[in-house]
Amino acid sequence: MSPLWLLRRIAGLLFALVAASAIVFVLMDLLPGDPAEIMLGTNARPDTLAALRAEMGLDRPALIRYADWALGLLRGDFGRSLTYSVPVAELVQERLAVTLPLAMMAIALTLFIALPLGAFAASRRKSLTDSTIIAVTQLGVAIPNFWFAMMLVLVFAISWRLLPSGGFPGWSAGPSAILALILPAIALALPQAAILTRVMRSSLLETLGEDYVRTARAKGLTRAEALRRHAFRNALIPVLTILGLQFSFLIAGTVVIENVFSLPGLGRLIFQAINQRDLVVVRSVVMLLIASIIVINFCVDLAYALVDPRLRGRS
Amino acid sequence: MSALTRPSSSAAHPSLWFGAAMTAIVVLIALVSLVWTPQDPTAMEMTQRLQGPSALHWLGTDRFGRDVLSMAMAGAAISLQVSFVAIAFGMALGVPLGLFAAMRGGVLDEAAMRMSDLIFAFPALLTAIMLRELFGPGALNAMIAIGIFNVPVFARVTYGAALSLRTRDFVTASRLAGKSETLIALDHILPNVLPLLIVQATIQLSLGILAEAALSYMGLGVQPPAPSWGRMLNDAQTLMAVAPRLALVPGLCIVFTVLGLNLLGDGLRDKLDPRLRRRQA
Amino acid sequence: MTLLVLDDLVATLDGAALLRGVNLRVAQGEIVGLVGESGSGKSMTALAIMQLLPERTASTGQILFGGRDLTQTAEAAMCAIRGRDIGLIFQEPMTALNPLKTVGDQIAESFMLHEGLAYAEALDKTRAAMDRVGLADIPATRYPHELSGGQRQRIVIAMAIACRPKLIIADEPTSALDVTTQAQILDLLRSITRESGAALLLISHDLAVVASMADRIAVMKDGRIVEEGATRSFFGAMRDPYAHALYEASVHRPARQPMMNKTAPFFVAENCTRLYRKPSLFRADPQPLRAVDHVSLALSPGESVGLVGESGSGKSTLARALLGLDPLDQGTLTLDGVVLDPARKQDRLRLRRKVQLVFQDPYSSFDPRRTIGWSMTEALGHLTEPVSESDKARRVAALLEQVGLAPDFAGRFPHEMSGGQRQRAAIARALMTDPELIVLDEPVSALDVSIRARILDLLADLQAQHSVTYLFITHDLTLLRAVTDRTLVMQKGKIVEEGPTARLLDEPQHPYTQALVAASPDLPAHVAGLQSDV
Repeated sequence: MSPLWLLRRIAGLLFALVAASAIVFVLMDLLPGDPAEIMLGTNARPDTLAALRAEMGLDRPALIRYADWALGLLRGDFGRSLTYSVPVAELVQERLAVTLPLAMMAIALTLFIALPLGAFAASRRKSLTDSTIIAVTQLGVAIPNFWFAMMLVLVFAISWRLLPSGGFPGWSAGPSAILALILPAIALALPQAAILTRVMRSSLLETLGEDYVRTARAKGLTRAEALRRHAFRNALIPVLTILGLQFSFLIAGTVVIENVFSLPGLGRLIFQAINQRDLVVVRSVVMLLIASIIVINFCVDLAYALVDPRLRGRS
Repeated sequence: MSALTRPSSSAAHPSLWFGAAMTAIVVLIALVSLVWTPQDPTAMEMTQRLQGPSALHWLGTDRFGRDVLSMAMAGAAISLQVSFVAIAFGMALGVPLGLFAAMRGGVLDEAAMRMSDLIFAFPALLTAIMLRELFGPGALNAMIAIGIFNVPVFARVTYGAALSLRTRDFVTASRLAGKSETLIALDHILPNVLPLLIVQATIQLSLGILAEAALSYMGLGVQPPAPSWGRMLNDAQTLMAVAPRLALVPGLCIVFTVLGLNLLGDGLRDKLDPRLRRRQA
Repeated sequence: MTLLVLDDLVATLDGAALLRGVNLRVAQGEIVGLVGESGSGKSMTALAIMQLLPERTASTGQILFGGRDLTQTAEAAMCAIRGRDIGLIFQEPMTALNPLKTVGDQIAESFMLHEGLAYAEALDKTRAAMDRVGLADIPATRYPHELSGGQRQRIVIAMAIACRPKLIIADEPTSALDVTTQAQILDLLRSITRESGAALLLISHDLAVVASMADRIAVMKDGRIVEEGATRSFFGAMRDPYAHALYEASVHRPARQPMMNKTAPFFVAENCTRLYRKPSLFRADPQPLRAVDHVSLALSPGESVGLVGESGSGKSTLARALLGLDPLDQGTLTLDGVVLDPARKQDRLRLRRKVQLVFQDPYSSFDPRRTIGWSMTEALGHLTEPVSESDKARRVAALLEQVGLAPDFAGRFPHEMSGGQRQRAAIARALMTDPELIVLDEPVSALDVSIRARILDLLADLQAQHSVTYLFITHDLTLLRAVTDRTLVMQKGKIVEEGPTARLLDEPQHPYTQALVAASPDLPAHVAGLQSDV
């Protein structure tokens, strides 16, 4: 990878983070009016209001406030939660212990299902297996993940009593903590996997029609070898694009699913904070989620270059 | 040879007709619900709480004694309305942005496209959370949040297609015929991008339905007493053990609608895309 | 000894006949040329031999390779034959290689597959194979996108010959390449087959290429071999009317009046320079590419001027600049004594009214969503005074008739017409504003040989009728000789030689022109040579 290329990408990443944080700040801090009043309600006592304004530094110019907040984020200082009276960073850290494993389980499950299944369907094009996979994924794409979650609860928790219907015992509880995340991870992963399976299948079919696959066959490779050695990696490029986009759906999905299962993750934190009008928490957590989407997409960009030498350039 | 290796795929489009029929049913129900539903979907009748299906309430009642069928019908109208307006919003901003960026093709236009890509990092749910303080929770909030996410989607599709069309010989021919860039964009580029936009709009509509459901489930979209599928699901959640029917009905409504739109989109793509693809052959 | 026998080979796909009974023999060490136009089934024949026909293709007949019937050979055994005993070379070097793997790995794969070598040993043999195809100075660790088209085709050849196959099939191996590269690749193929004793089945649409290479020629049409014979006696003894027509079309020279007394030029380009800068937000590219470098030319009424050069020579860029499609970085355009600045809209319109263009690819030169009539009249009202609908229809009908199309073509969509018909319509469109100059950008190179001849006749007729000037951009020297009075040779953005076409081709002065002439297969001369030998 040429250093110039990498430098450009990193510059793009930093620019995106700054722009996104500016958008979040403008939408949540500047436009709605006085944050202190929103947080305390209109009938708050004037002196409490003034105290809060002072604490939040609302008497200072917007630009300074933005810079303060943004630099704070960089240092890991996310401000102080009003309702919990603890640093937001502490809350985030605590909640991340649920959200991060959940998201990773979901992504892993998505890939684990989608890539082999898509490849399998493509290799048996136009067979009964293929059409069945197509039909199932078509249905999977149409199912809202939170409804799917409810149905999973209905079957596995309420009817069969195999898995917990919600809540999280904490990691100290050991295996039961993992059990608590299984249904949420499946609910998140399956609809995503349905999309990705379709992408994998069509991308692989397209690649199998390429001239270089025919070259490989002419060289004496069997159909399966040509698929494995010459089509699979090439077919991953469009899959990567979709995976990057899916990450933003996954983040949104996690927020919703955590609420379905009452999991104490970042998504639940946001909604508790919204109900308690704790803007400091909402703003910082939203920013954190958006930043993670941007960073993941940056990583997808790097992954492109790992897969595709044409993007690397020769140094 | 190329003509032989690709058998004509336009022979039959079963998914197109299935999808069109399913979508038509949903649209019809939504339209009917505007003037007539079996019962008033907002009327609560505490004596009729959690009734099973009956002659009076075909799909039973919820915990406030509201008629589930009527709520589901009215929910279709809300759901379609929100995602339709959101997609129109996304197209109205995204298509011109993509078109002009592609036609002018300068460094600044490229930068504008990069900026619009940044919006991909703002899922509708997070945008809705941020806009909540601005507009308050409600249908408008959902429309704008979903709409904003659709701007870069349509900008990308338009930009990509227009960029490749712009270098094609017939556009050069039009330029040699003395036409201005604006006229070329309207006479040649837009009509050729249109099929792609129609396909994309169908897909985005189905994503919009899903997003709307999630938003109202989370209390960020349509507010009670207006019925919506997402809201109904939220209400049903605590009653899952008692009345799973309440969760099944709106859920299946969503699946039916989204499935119909997806099939329609797939069918349209098969029907419309090969003509665009043949240009490369 | 006979190596390959195709016996009454028939193939059908979904009811459409691909091959209708192909009979062909290839002896050991022999070079057989298979010629045909698009859709004749020549590529299908190659794929049939490899047993790589599209799925669902049904076939009957025999393919005997070294006595073994390949149609009855199991897929696993076939995989052992492909690449080891039969090597296949494809047309498109740009897409025939996997972009994500190094070229070395792709060649090494053959050795590992067929000779059971370990990766390191395979790489050694890969190096030798690359040396053999003239890529001694290219590291095996390169990726395909880092190589030129000619180099990639050499890689494809190295892959095909890696295991020293008994038969090499080359399907249009040079059609995507420049003339000089084509000559080098053909030389390479010839020397490799001769030295290894392999047989070569060379498939091409170009009779000139085949005649210069093959021991025997077979002509294919509609899934059958219609004519076959030893190259030496082939051209004197053609019996099949199609084979005869194909030859006539290949050497066709339209009847045209050469320019006798040239009048003063009406269109003058002086000192034109066009730079290509890499786009950047912050600063100008310090080392722009000089795509067109101080080029001057003057065109007189009614003459036909050729502009020849290979890809990257700048000839298309020059054409775009002359048409005012791209701005000039330097230089002036003068039309009928008036200096025009293409950056100004009024001047641009003036220029376009008098200078029009016919494109190479008839498939993309019409908007697929507009009728031919609509597209033809696009200029009216923009380059001319507004024209009434009935006048438009009348002019369209008149021009369609002139180019040999019925008036009802005005209402057709491009996909309802053949390539040749579209090219006729494109010529009619160019004539709509009564231009003085028409730039013809490779106007027949995308067409089949027989259609090509008719379009050339049409162009000659129209020039006589309208006394319009042609600037004929081409890479084909035979064509140049047939249709132009004067020729400009372009290389690296500069015009390196110019003069009357016949003299320039017979006595080229500049080394580049000499190389071009030497590399171009010349069918009439070749045939004349063959016949004097007999």
